[in-house]
Amino acid sequence: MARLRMAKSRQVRCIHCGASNEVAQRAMSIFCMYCHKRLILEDYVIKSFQGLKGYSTCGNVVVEKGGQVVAFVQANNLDVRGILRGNAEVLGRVEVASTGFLQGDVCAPALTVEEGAQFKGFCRIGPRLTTQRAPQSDSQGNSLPSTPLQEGSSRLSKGLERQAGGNKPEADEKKTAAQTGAAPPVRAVKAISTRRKSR
Amino acid sequence: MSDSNGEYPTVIGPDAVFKGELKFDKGVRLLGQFDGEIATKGNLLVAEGAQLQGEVTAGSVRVDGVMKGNLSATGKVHLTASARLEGDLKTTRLEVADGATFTGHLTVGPQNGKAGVTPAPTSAPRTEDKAKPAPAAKK
Repeated sequence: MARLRMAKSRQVRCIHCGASNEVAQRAMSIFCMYCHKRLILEDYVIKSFQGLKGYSTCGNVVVEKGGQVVAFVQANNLDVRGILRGNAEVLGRVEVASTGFLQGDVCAPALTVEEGAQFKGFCRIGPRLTTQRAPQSDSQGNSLPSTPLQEGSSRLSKGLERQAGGNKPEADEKKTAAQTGAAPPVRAVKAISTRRKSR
Repeated sequence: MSDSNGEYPTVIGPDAVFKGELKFDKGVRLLGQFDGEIATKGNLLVAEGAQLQGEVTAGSVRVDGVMKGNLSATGKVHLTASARLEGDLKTTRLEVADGATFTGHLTVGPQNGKAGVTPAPTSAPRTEDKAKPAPAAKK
């Protein structure tokens, strides 16, 4: 434990649910603590034509001059100096340099297009427009003030309880959730199995 | 104050409500409400608290307030943190600050530099779009 506490960590925002995860400095991929989806933390630097279906990372994506991408891009920051044809969903900033060409729809909080660059597409620029979690409500219809942190910690504590006290039946778990007014637990296994491999 | 008056000699005050067509050469600072069409080679500043609705063709535009309608600029378009823009945007340079809201179709390219003053030929953008990626693909 002491080693874990000493290790350098950084905050990474999940590209699927927007929640902040604390990860080790050198981590390359994790499972989000809150939505349980796999997150790649690496940065992508594209210098030539890449025939991938999509880039999905919590790091930055840089399409260098000479690079060409025809794919959906999901990233923390996006820098286009080459050619990008495809939609982009970004948590941070999108920058299209003077040599850049971007054709596709962009969803991001901030955008900069330099002189000489070319951009064509629909833009949805604004704070927190990318991915938002739906507000949860209990059986009486009252909205619950549940932050991703609270949800994750409650799920984590439930998981720990299950490990400590053996596996409880799911029906009991749902009953207790209904009594306490908490949301039913999300199956991590289902989330993993439905995930599409991006690489 | 003298600098802002030099850059924006015309000011539409915060209590003004203007409806119609506006043409000018230098620059206009909009503090109130405007509903109509603006055609200019000069600069336009939509100040915080101002509301602009309609078609705008201008040199460079800075938006701090709320704007609804299509915007075409030959120069730079700057949306600050308090800006809200709904409509299609054509320009040569764009900067959207963190906190600003923009929803609409965006077309940025050198071909838009001439579009604001004289109507560009309809076939020009397509040929330029195809020609632009070619040099990058050589590498």
